[in-house]
Formats: sequence, C-alpha cells, structure tokens
Amino acid sequence: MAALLEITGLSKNFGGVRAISDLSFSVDEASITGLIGPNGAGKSTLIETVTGFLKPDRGVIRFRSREIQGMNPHRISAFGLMRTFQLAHEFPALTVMENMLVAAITDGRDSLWKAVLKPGVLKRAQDLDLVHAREVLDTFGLLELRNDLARTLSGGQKRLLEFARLVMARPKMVMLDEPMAGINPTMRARIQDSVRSLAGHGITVLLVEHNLDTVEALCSTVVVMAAGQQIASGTMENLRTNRAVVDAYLGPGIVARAAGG
Amino acid sequence: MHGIGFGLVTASIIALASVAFSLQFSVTTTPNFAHGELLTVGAYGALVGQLLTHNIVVEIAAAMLSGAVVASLLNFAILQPFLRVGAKRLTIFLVTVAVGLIIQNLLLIAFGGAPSAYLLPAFELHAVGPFLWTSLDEAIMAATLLALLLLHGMLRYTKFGKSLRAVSDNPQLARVTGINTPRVVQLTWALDGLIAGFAGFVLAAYIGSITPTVGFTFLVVIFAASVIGGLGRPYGTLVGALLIGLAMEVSASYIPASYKTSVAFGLLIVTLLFRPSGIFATQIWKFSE
Amino acid sequence: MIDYLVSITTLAVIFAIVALALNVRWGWAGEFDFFVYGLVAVGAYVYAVVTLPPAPKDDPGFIYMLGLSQPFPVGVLAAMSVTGLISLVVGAIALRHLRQVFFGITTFSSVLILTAVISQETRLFNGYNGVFGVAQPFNDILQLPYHQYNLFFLGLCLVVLIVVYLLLERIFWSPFGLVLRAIREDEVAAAAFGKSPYTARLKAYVLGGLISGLAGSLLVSYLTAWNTDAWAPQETVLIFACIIIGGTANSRGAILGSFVVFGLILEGTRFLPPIPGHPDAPSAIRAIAIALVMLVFLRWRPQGLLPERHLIDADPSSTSRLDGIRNLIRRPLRRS
Repeated sequence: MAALLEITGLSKNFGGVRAISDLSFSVDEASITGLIGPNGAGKSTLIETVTGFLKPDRGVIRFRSREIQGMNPHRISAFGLMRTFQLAHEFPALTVMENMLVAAITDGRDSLWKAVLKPGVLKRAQDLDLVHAREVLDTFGLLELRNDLARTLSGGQKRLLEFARLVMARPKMVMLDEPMAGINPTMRARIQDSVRSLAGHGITVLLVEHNLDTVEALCSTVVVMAAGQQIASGTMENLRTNRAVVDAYLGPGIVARAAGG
Repeated sequence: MHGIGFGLVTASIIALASVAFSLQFSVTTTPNFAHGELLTVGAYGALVGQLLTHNIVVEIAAAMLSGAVVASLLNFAILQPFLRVGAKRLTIFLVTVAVGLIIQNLLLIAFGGAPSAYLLPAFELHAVGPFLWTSLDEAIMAATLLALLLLHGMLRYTKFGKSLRAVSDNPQLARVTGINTPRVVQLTWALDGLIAGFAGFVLAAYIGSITPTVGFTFLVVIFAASVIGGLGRPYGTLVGALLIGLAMEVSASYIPASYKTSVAFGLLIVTLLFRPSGIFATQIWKFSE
Repeated sequence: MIDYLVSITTLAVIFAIVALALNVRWGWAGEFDFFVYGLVAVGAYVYAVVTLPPAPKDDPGFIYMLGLSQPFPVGVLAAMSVTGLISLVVGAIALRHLRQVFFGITTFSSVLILTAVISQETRLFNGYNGVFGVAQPFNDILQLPYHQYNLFFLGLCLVVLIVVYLLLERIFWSPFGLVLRAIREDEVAAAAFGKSPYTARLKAYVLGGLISGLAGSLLVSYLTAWNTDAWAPQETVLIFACIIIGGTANSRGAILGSFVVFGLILEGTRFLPPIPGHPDAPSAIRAIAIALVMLVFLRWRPQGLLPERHLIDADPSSTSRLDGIRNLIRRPLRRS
C-alpha cells in the first residue's frame, strides 16, 4: 500500500525546547492510523507543523508525492491534507449550513471575478452543494440545526459539525486532533462512527488521541510518540507488550491485562 | 544639536502622556482612543484654575484633578457597563472613540473652538552645554523626571503599586490571591487621568494656548511611543517616548516641520509591521484576535 | 424647501455609497479600516485635478497638478484607478500582519500622514486651501438651470447607488462573499479549509477602495470644492456610525444607517436654536448626538438596525429558530 504521507527527519524547536526531534514515520493510504503518546510528546506540534500552521526547522514532509514542508496552511489544505482542532473552530456567526457550504468550495469558485460575472454558474454549483450538505448533515444528526448559527451548538455538536465539514471538503487525508477531548461518554460512540464514516468516504485518517479504547477500536496501525520522537509502531496488541511503549506511557494496568490474557 | 535639545522637552511631554497610557493598558488591555482627551481636559482644567486664581499650584492641581475625574468616570460609568455584558475589545475601542468625540465637543461648546491662551510668566533662553533651553523647558523636564520617579516609587513600594503590577501580569492569579481587581482597575484609570491631566497642563504651558483638539492631535504620537516601547510596559514606553521625541525634533532639521508628526506615525507603522511587541519584547506575539 | 430636501438627500445618497465601501471592508471582511475616508478624499482630489482646466499660471494661491479638463466619466475612472491602486498597496502591506484594533491604528495614522503630505505639498492639490471650481457633471451638455440640475444630479447619484448596491449584493451572496465572511469569523479555520485569508481580505480592501474613489468623485462634484477640512478624522467616525446604527455586514443596513445619520440626526439637530456666544455649539451638539446614538447601539443593539443576512435552507417542516432573532430569512436557498 502506498504511503500517502511520509515524514522524514522532522524537527521543531520552541525557544530551546525540542518539541519534535528527528521524527520519521508514514501513513498509508486508505487507513485509519493512530498517533498516541504521553502529554508533551509533541503530537499537537506535529499536526501544526505538518499542516503548515508552524514551519518545521528541519525535515521533509511528503504528501501525495510532493514536498509540503514550509508551505502555507491554506495551500496544504487545498492540496488535500486537512485537520481538526482541539478547541472548536466553527464559523460562529454563520449558520450550520453556511459552514458546510464554505467547506464545499474547493475549486476556485470563490474568485471575485466569477462572483461578478458568473452568478448563474455559481448558484447551480451551490444548489448541488446544498443537496449534498443536507445528506451529510443528516448522517451526523445535525440536519435540524442547519439554519442555526454555529455558535449556538453544544460542544459535541460542534465536534460533529467539524466532521461534517470535512466530508464536504473531500480531502485526501485528515489529521484529527484529539476528537474525543471533552466529549461525554454518550457522544463517544457517535464520534467514533463519524471517524469511521470519514474513512468510508475514502479519506485517510491520522487519529491523534489520548483515549486508548477509541484508538484500539478504530485504528489498524498505531504510532507512538514520546519526547518528540517515534518510539514504536504497530497494532495496539503489539504495543501493549512493547517495553519502550509501556515505559513511556501505558502504565502498569495495561501490562497486567496483557499478562492476564 | 538644537534638535536634540528640543527633542528632550518634547520627549518629556510624550513620556508623561504615554506612561499614563501604558499603565492603563497594562491593566485593562484596552487601547483608549479618548486618551488624548484626558490631556485636553487637563489643559482646560489648568486654564479654569488660572482664570479663578493665578496660582500655578492650583492650576496644576486643577489639571490633574479634572483628568482623574474624567478618567474615572469613563471607566466607571461607560466602560464597566460594556465589559459586564462581555463586549469585545473592538467594541470597547469604538466606545472610546465615541466618548472621545463627546468630550471633545463638550469642550468645544464650553470653551469655543478658537485657541484659548494659557500663559505662564515669561522666561529667557539660556545655554546648558550644547543645548538651548528656557526655564520653562527645564521646569518641564524636571517636573517630568520628578513625576516619573514618584510613579516608579509608587509602583515598587506601595501596596497599590504592587497590586497594579500583579493585575497587569496575571489578572486571574491576582484575583485568586485576594487582590480586589475591579478596584485596582478603577484606581489605575484615576492614576492615568491624574498623570494625563498633568501632561495636559505641561502641554498647554509649552504651546501657550489650548484648543479642544490639542490632546487628540497628540494621540497617535502617544500610540507610537507606547507601541515602540512595548504596549503595557511603562518603562519601555519611556524609552519609546524618548526615541519618538528625538526622532521628531531631529528630523525637523532635515525635512519640513509639518512632517514632524508624520515621522512619528511612520515609526509607529513600521513598528507595528515588523516588531509589534515593541523593541523590548522577549517573545514576538502577533496582533491577531 | 424642495431644494433643501434634494440637497440633504443627495448627501445622504453619496455617504451611503461610502458606507457601502466601508461595509465591504468592515462588515464583510472584518477589517477595522480608518483609511476609507482618506480614500474618498483621494478620489475627490484626483477627480478634481483630472476634470479641472489647467491651473491658472499667474495665481500663486491656486496651484494644483494635472488639470486635464476631462469630462465626468474620465474623472471617475481616474479617481477609481488611483484609489484602487493605493488600496492595493496599503492593503498588501497592512493586511499581512495586522488585525482589528492595530489595523485601525495603522490606517488612522496613514490618514494623518496623507493629510500632512497633501497639506505640505501644495503643488499637488493646493495644500490646505484645496481645489475649487469643479464643474458640474454633464451640465455643459445639458445646460440645466439650478433646481433642475440638482434633481438631475440626485438622480445620477441614486443610479450609482443602486448599481453599486446590486453589484455588492451579487458579491455578498456569492462563494467569494461567503468565504470572506468565514475568514472574518475564524481565519484559522478558513485556512484549514484551503482559503487564503490574506488574498480574500486584500480583494475586499481593493473593492472598498474602488467604491470610495467613486464616492469621492460624486462628493466633490456635489460640493464643487475640496480641502483638508472636509476630511478630518472625525468624518470617518460618521461613516462608522452609519454602519453601527444601520447594521454591520448588511448593505441595506449601510444605506439605512446613512440616511438615519445624515437625514435624521444631522438635519434634525439643525433646527436647534443657536446659542449666543457659542457659535460652535450646533455642530458640536450634532457630533455629540451621533456619538451618543453610537454608544446606545453598541450597548443594546450591536448588530444594528438590520442585522446580517444568511443563506437559509427554508423547509416548512424545519422547526429551528435563529438565535432568538425572528425573521432573519432573506433568501431561501430552496423550497422543499
């Protein structure tokens, strides 16, 4: 299987702190890969750096066989590598439907010239988006809220909207930044289904997450980071008995479970 | 050489006004577009004092008092109600714009638009080393120095000063450790008005006349000094004021005098573009909301 | 009486165009721009020196550059080109890093620098005294007497307003307009979805600049003269008041706000009796009135009289309400 995202020798410093240190790994196409690690491992920094919100100090990031390190975030996302955020980043004073429509504009339709000269073409495209958006919102259970301003949504609903927007944007790959954070247990199943649904739409997923049950349920491969470096990768089964991982992160409870079978 | 001499006097006036602005900003993080009006109010306060008595002490006191009263009212009667409903920083900025307009025009109604003379006893020029100053110039610089020293002493050694520094550093922590933050904010505004009022008196004495817009025209220069020195850093602002004052006066030797303030504005823009946290910044932060 | 009404309506219409320009930058793009009135001024100056005859050679009190004696359309084109270009340059620099309050401070300083330059370099636009004697558009062909011409000119301004309004509406509801507002809301999220905040904002800035140049041409044609007093910073606050009162990010709101500010408030206070010994009082009271109304709106109705409009997917079976604000529905995407 081809590697969609290849990271080689990535390093990022923050005023003396080595957040990422000579990190290398890759993500295969059409997979749900997990990225775990203790706090301070550099997971969030990795997302920021790969998606262009931070510039790396060293290293090569290859996405769809092109080098993207150092590119601006909007160009990387337009190229097909998108991300979510730990804090909600919906467009607050736009409606849910408008949020969806913005995400769907991926083909240069937002040019000013076209706005002035080709309103008919744009309207027809928007109508198509509308139909698609309704379907997607329905699968996420947000259809009834489509005319509400996005800032009135609950935390869990905003998280679902993030997923819905991603489906509209049709990226090749998405990096999910701790989607389970702050989600109450009743919502968890829905968010997990949402991640699966992304994969179902053909989107490769890199899931950065603390909640190990979720990682185990969703991910075929898991990469483990600690102190800015990759320390292991494999299935959750393998990792549970991997000494380095256990030392860095998993803790005695997991070891006991693995030992007990 | 003369330029530098004038520059120091200009810098003194700018320093007073800017330090007041920075102090207030450090505690409230609100850029006060009506700050210039505090100077104007102080200037007219001194004028009223002069009309009633001819006692310079009374005039200075009147200037400082009127500045303090207006500043306190601004916070208490106008800004706090907005902050209580969670107004955003941009809204507060617009509020200060509107209030500045109101103050300016109230003064216009009360005193008329024509310049009102504010004259202090005549004074001679004399040379101090390479510089050429009048006794008024020297009095201004001495008064500024004194005011800044007092301010420094207050910030370092009094309870209020320490509370102020705590709130400006970390408002949440300050509240948790028992500091009455709203009160510190209110008193900081009063202090801001006190110093700005004094600066208004000095400005009026230096120019010799007062108009309702005299403080407003100073506003961007004050912004410039504060931004260059680092917003919310009163000590940095001092250096910023010095730089601005010198730059303005020295440049007047090379380009037409009416471009003096443009030099300050130009420096402000350049600083905002390339080093918005000021020349003393230890970390660069972007002015993105 | 009719003349008076025509006169204030014309002014309100022209300022409505300026308000629309500011609305593009502030309401749509979220740029707190103080430079808009400076651009109106530049537009006015450029229109004047392009349409005026060459400066009289023997009058040292009236010097200005160019003097091409061109008719109205050429003057407008020239004005808009210059303001568009300046917007491009200023926007390209300022929009890279600055936001909100500090963008406002920078643009405010730019206006003050512009004032200083124009006042000082008298060979440009005659310094403080400014230009005067600007011809009335089209009147060399029409040769209308005073009253009829004023009506014609009002009609001309109304046509311009309507054209600009329709154009802006089309842009507002387009993908560009939607993306621009998304950037205003959260530029990080917009960048995460492939939109370049800088490019969209710059386009909005230039669009606003073009409209400002157009408005400036109309304004100086109406006043037939233009100097630095006409564009003091306080005038910019007036335009902001139009938007705050009328409605941010709403073109109709901008127009309504302009009529409220210029019609109601400014003219309403014109009927105040003059106060002996205080000749400046009436204009000062007018300014205070506007500032007070601004404050009232900022506190109790920050969205303005006409709030922002949204794309609504109207479905009879939908039971959602919009934030407690009734009747935000303006343009249904589709009826099921």
